[in-house]
Parts: sequence; C-alpha cells; structure tokens
Amino acid sequence: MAEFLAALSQHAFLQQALLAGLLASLACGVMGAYVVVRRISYLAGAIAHSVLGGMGLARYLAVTQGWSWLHPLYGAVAAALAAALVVGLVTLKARQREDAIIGAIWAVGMAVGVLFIAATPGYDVELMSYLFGNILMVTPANLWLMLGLDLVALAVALVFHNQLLAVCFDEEFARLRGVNADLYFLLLLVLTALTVVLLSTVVGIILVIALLTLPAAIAANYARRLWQIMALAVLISMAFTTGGLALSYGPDLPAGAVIIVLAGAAYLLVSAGRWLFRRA
Amino acid sequence: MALIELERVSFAYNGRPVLSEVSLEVLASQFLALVGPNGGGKTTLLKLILGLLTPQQGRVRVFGQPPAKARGRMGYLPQHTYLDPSFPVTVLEVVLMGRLGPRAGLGLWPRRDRQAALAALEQVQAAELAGRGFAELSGGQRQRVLIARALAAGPELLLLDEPTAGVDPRGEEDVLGLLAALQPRVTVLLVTHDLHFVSAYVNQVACVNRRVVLHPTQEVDDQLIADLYGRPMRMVRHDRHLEGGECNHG
Repeated sequence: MAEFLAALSQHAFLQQALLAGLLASLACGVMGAYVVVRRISYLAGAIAHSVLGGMGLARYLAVTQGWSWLHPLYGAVAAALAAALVVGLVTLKARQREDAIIGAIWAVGMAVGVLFIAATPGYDVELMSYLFGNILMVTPANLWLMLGLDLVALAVALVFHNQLLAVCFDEEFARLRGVNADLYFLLLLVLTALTVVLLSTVVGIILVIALLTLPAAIAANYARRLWQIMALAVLISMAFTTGGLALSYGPDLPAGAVIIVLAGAAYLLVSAGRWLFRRA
Repeated sequence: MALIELERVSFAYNGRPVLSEVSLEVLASQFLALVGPNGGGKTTLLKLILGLLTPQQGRVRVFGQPPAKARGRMGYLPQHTYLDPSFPVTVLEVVLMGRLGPRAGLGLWPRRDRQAALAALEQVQAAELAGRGFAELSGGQRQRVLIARALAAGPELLLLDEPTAGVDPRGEEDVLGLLAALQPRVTVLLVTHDLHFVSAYVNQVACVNRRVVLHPTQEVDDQLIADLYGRPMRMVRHDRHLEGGECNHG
C-alpha cells in the first residue's frame, strides 16, 4: 500500500487511473441503482457484450483505412447506443421470446467483434484490454469524456427523478398518468449503455456488469429511497475502484479483475452478514 | 349522458376471447361492483376503460372521449401483487406518483403536490405512514397507500382492482366506507370476489363472464346469486358468502 502511495505521487498514469476509477464510479452508482431496482442487468449485459463489435469495427477501420482518428472508444459508444435501442425496442415490442432475442444480441455482438479483431492486420494485444479493461492506459481525453458522461447521467437523474422512479416502480400506472414510459425506459437504457462503455475502460466488457450492479445491490441493503442507494453506491464503487487499483499495483495484478473480486467479496460478506443477523 | 359507454366491445388475448360483444353504460355517481369468476374478464374490462388495452371490436368512450384522452380524470388501483415488494421507495413518493401528468414539473415536487399527496393519505387514514418505506408495510397498509395514490389527483372516476384483497375484515369495511364517502362526487367501479361486504355499499352489480350483465343492488337476492355462481349460497346471518362457481348468464 505504501508502495502504491509513493508511486501515485510520482506517476501521472497512476493518477489518471485513480481519477478514471473515481469518475466511472459516479455514473456507475447512479445508473447501477436504476439497473438493480428495475431488474435489467440482463439487458445491460447484452449491451456490454455488443460493445466489442463496435470496438472491433472501429479498430479494423482505423488500421485498414488509415482512419487513425477513429479510436475504439467511438466504436464502443456507437455500438452501445445501437444495442441499447435494439434491446429496448425488443423488450417493449416483442412480448414473447424476448430473452432469446436479447441472448442472441449478446452473443452476436461479441462474435462480430472477435471477427473484426481477427481480420485486423498486425500484432494484436488489444483484445485482452477490451475484454478485461486496462485502467492504466486511460488518457486525459478519456477522462474528459468520462466527466462529460457523468454530468449527463447526473443531470438526467436529477431532472427526471420523479418520472424515472414512477416508470421503474409501476410502468403501467406511470403510463396512465401521462408519462411516456417507453421513452423513459429507452432513456434509461441509453444512459446505461454509455455508463457501460465508460466502465469497460476500467474493468473491461466482461466484468462491467459486476461493477455496475454490485455497489447498488450492496447499497440497497442500507437505504430505503432510490437516491440514497445512488449516493451510497457511488461511494462504495469509489472504494472498490481505488482499493482494487491499490491492491493490484504491488503484485502487478490486472486491476480490473482485482476490483471485481473486491466487489464480489464485499457483496458476499454483506449478504452473509444480513443472513446471520436475521437468524440471530 | 353515460360516463362510461361500451358498444359491442370484444377483446381476445392471442385469439382466446375474454369479452365478447359487451355493451355497458355506467352513469355518473354510481358505485358499481364487478363480480364474476377468475378469468371472466373483470380486469380486462377495467383495462379497456382505462385504455391500457384496445378492443379488437367495438368502441369504448369515457366522459364521451376515447379512454386515452380521459385518463387524467381517472384514478386506478391495479392488483398489487405485480409490484416489486422490495422496491426502495417511501409511501409519500408512491402517493406522489398519482400527481404525475403530462404537465408535471421536473425536479423536486412542488409544495402543492406534496400537500395533495398528504391529503390523499389522510383520506385513507394512513397519514402517519408518509415517511415509511413501502417495502416495510403490511399488505393492508400497502393497499391503502395505493388507493391514496389513485385519489391523489382528485379523479372523477375511480377504478379499483380488488381493493380489499389482503385487507382484514375491519380494514375492508373502512376501505368500502371511504369509497362510499366519495359519492356522489366520484363514480366508483370496483372488482371484487365477494359481495359479502360490498352489497351494503354499492348500488349496482355487474356480473362479468365473457358478457356483462348489470343488476341494481335491490335485485341482488339469493336467486340472482345462485344464477351468477351456478349454485345457491349458504346464508350466514344477513351476509352473503359467494364461493367459486360460474356466471350462468345466457
């Protein structure tokens, strides 16, 4: 730990990684709370995995067409938004076999990404960092993007809080009160998609769902209102990303995986503690 | 003019007919109970009136308008079983949802809406629950809170799907009494499984079983109940217990 703190004061890349974890935690706590209470982590999972398709395509075009401006992150954002809309419309319109369609989007998005990565000429180290993230590679430009997404997520959660709460609690009733429930549901998915992209730079596509849902699931044990869960989940998520980064630095472990193991262990402890407490 | 008009309305779920050729007129200030067997179409009828479902045939008019346009003047209590019992929300927040509307403001609720929500909670004698978590409440308390949500916008027409489900007999009388007190300002339609308590309060009974037949309460004698449910009912004091059976209208 002392080693981490000493390195933190010296290396800009480590400071950026720390900041990336903190910024990602903001959107993660807010959107994670919606994902947990609305029970759409399965939809978020499908969105996360289709992000690989967008990253692979962007990388492929950047290399083969010489479009060096086309950072994989742009591909990720585009794919996440497209997946969110498709998944959302499937959920709203196709009453039957909805889970099968979403499972297909999940897998096909990923398969497309693998194909593009395979087709991209050159030595490929990127696949692992897409899948499992690399918080140490975060650039200042990424940090600004994260800050922007945080502000959007916070603004939406503040301004539309009453409507989103009603849509999550009782969609049918919200619709009766003249709230455009479909539109708010899609808004929720779009913001979840952007948060997924943001978190995937920290822990990667595969692990993103754990970081999105575990802090909110832990927070839900201690809060009775949605905004309290959000606030608590932001703090818990900040503790996980910072703690995971610090723990992984000394032994040179992958930071994303350490963050997730930390989150999973905390969730297990909290759940076990509550179970024992209830029985006592 | 009738407040609710259904003209030869038919509705089927995936080809399975639930209501066929239903015509119904409900006048203002009625207190109407919808009875009938499970799957007979009671909830479907409410959802058609609310415009949550669209009939395959026929026409629904509420306040002389298509249901979607009249929604702002209706209050609705859904069957509460489909709500997530652990959802993180306070009682006041739930009741405030009844104040939402196309023109509802964004951000924090204005004081006027908070006061209206508290007044609705007082109407159902649940004001002391305002700050509690919805997840902590008993079934009967939840039902009162959801009735308050339906009342929060001051509806002229109240549609209630089994308002006394999960409520103990004492609470059941309280709920029916409070609905009766809304007369004649508010027209009330409620779905129920027993006429046991209800018949003392309502002035019309509609039997819903693919068709809908209206009866004034005076007609609700033992012969009718036997017709509705296919067999005579036990008499316990002056109360009528309805159990199982089928609606045997033509």
